[in-house]
Amino acid sequence: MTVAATSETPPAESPGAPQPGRVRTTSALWVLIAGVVGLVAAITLTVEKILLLADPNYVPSCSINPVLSCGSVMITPQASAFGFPNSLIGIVAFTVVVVTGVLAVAKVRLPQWYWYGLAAGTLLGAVFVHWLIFQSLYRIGALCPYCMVVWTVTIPLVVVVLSIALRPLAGNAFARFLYQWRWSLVALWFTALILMILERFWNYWSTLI
Amino acid sequence: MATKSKKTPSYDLKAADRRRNLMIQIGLTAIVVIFAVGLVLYIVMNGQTKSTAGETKSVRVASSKLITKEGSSDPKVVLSMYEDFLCPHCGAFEAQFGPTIKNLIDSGAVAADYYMVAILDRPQNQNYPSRAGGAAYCVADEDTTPNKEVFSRFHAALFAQQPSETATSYPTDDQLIETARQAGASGSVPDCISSGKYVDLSSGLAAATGIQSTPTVKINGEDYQFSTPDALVAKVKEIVGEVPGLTTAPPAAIPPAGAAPTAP
Repeated sequence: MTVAATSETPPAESPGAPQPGRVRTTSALWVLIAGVVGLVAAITLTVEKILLLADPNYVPSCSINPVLSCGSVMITPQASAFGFPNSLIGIVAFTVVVVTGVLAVAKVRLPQWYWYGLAAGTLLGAVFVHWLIFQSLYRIGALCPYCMVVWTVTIPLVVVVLSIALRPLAGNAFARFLYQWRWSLVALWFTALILMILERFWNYWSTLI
Repeated sequence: MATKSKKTPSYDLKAADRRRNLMIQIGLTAIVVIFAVGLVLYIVMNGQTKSTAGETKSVRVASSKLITKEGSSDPKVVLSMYEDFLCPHCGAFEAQFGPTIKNLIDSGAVAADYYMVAILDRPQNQNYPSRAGGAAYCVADEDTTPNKEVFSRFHAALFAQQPSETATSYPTDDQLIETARQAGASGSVPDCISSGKYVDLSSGLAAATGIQSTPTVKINGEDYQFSTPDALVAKVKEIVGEVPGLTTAPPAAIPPAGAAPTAP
């Protein structure tokens, strides 16, 4: 990959890190799409939660079977980890992501410290999401489809935002290695999560075959 | 990967290089993913076959008037029922068919085999299905009455008091013991329930018997699609002929608490 660039431009440090402050269009689109999808999921979860509170007999639209059921997940204490429904955090956080995505797509140059902040935020979000994955699989024993949408967008989002925010590290060999292999790492990460779900609920899945 | 190339030939060379690197990257990732999936599936499926080899055990309920095949003591009709004590459809099935099945048994038309499967075990219901199923085997073990009356009462009581699938609390082992005591169980039943003697049997039974959904009803080993108690009686009469005293019992002889098991 580090073939000496013999062109007139200064040697590109890393293929994905062009001029500072400028975000590649694909990355910008990623941020925007992830923000929109996450926001829709968070709003849906909040609406379902309100409907469930208004009518305890309400069956949420995502309660499909004993494993895929958000009703039983939404009433757990883990679903309100900070004393209020987690989806409210999602609405606020994904709104910020959507706005950032719009600005990035519009090629508005955002200061480096802004990207550091967003990276810190999405990193916290990813940590929280993984705590929820663990709780959902091994403590609650059910999966909530809308929550899984949030898991699915948060993981690539943190990778994209980190690779934008950490462009100053482009000279570091290890960082560049991670950067080059980032989508492979994401693919492996998802494979691991899917296999964990498969293994955990195998007894149930096997009854469906 | 950046795609701001195609300016000069030297860039094209670099692009080819990059494309090759990308292919290597995708290839390596795919290999690792396929390997991981294969390994996990292998392990999981192996665990599955182990429980398939698990023991199967049923509880036979039959009366002394049982109609048998000529020249043998085998019943002419074996009605097998695979039920999960938490499954709402099983509760509804018991409410609708329970009294008729009791008539079928009492008149000697059928021998009933009960398989207490547990397909709805979850941490959030403290594995109630396999605990309840295991408890039913414990009760049946100690039941010396001719028609397995104690077992039948316990079985009916569990369905009458069926908790909701989304309940927040489920009967504990002690509560199961109390229900068994009320049904008339004694002896080593409490020990059997609290030690969970048949819990593993119950949780592995669905796989061991190849049951995919509950309730599953089989007549002489063949899947039977139940519709109404009348149709069931007619089907049994097809095999054994007219039986004195055999009628369809009205459903919902069970108290209203059990008649609406799906109500949350």
